[in-house]
Amino acid sequence: MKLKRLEQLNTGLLAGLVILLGIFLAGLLAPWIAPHDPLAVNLASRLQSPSWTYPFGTDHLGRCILSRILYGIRISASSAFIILFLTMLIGLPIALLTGSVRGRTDNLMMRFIDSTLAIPDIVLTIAIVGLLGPGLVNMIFAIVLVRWASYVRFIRSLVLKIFQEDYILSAKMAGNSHFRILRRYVLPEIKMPILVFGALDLGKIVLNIAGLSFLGLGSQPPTPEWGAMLNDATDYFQISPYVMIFPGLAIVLFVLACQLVSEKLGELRYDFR
Amino acid sequence: MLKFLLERLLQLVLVVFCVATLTFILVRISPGDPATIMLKANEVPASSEAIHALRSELGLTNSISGQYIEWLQQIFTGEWGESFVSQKPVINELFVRLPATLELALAGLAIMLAVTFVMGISTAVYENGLADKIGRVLALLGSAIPTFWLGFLCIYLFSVSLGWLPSIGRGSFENLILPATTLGLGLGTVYARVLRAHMLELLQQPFVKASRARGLSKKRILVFQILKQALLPIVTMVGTSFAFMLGGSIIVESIFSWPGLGQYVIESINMRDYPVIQGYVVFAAILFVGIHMLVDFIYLLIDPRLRV
Repeated sequence: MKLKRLEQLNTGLLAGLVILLGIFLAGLLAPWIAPHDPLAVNLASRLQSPSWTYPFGTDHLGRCILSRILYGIRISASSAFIILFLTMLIGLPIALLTGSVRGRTDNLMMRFIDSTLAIPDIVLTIAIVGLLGPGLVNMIFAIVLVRWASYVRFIRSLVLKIFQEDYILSAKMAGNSHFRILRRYVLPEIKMPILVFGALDLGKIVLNIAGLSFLGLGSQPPTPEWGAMLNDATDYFQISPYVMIFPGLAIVLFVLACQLVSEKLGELRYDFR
Repeated sequence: MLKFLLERLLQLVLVVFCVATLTFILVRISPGDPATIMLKANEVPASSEAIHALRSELGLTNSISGQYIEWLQQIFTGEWGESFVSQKPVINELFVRLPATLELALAGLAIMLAVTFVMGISTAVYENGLADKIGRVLALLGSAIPTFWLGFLCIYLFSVSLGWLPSIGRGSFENLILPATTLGLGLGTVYARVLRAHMLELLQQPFVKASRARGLSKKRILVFQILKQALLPIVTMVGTSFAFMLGGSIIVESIFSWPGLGQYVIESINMRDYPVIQGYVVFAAILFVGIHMLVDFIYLLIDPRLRV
């Protein structure tokens, strides 16, 4: 991005980025800003409503909900980024290759991907985690194993479109190698759309992680994680709704910020050519 | 038409093959010996003789390739093994729970469609009005709120605070309302935006100008002329979202203790009941590819242009 175009960063994009940055910072600084130890059990003060000592109340073991949410950022955000990175790592080369070379491999690959995409992500992910055994690492593995296909499909469609352009043809005629064409002419062109897609997907991944942890398949207790906190809340939220309200709000805030960033980036993309 | 069907059938076989292979690999690399787990599930003391006897009975002492071929044969002949826990054939256990899940998914779909149409049409008619602005916010929230949290909020509001509706179990119509709403609401708000955008796009056509010139109101044109054209993409949406409903029902079922496939598979995961989990994936794969085939087929019937 050129600096002189920075004024185009509208307030929406700025707000989204600030929220996301704030969330990451809060996760990073959790040991210093959290009012309590997220694992400290205190049965005398269980299921309390918000107060000055416990701003978001306490859960069924008397643990501070605010502290747990802050520490939960570390798990949710870092696993979401790991997943995003790994899916890109797998998806991008495959998409670049199959989209630019075409032919039989591409055909077979797409048929395979289209078939797997017929099965909803969550079903496959749950089955994979179920067979491997619940846990954070297995969950990350399962989500990556399921998600990369949609990346290939999306990025491949971008590559296909670019390869129909005349400038690719002239680049070929000028004697550029295939690899050089991809790096010099294709990658810069698909950078922004991928960023837009990735920002939106970051939110979806967080929802995915939270959903699996909610089912008890992701991070295991007593690790503070948003979805797992909601799982803990299942038996208690009817008595004290705060055990579910605040972790849920944290998830919604994160996902909304991702959507906002993605949408505003998408609007920008045409101006940055 | 025959070519289409054959191609789709081939795709089904391919998917089942891939899923079966995947589950086979996963079970082999997952920690824990199936024989030991099975004995534990039946509360039999896992002595080494008992484990060995069961291992050879289950065919676990055969070579890996032999096991793999046998597993593929089993999958394609419908012999999916027996549940470690209940000792009943997996396929029967799955079919017993299918109706509950289908009921929930269909109800979720109905709620989704209702929301899509009411919100989509009203936001298109009052473009940039109050309803439109509310619709935009709802659609944003609809895709950001996790289903399980929405379920909790619904239970807290309608069961705990107001006491209007039951929060768990299956049976009467009242039991269905909250789970179906939880399942369908979010996607409904998102699709409402799609329908709105599509209707407004169709509004650019020349015949609209002609109708306006003859004195028809924009509202009338939207509802009586545009809507019909906007329905076609909705048909595809219904197919894909039905698959989405079936997938999403796993989480909703576990919130509302709905006795369907999703709750069963989560239970089985907690009991380490491998045959059930394996059977479930293959079952789901067949179900979803089947739905896709059906949608494509319906599309072919509705839109004659595609038949050429």
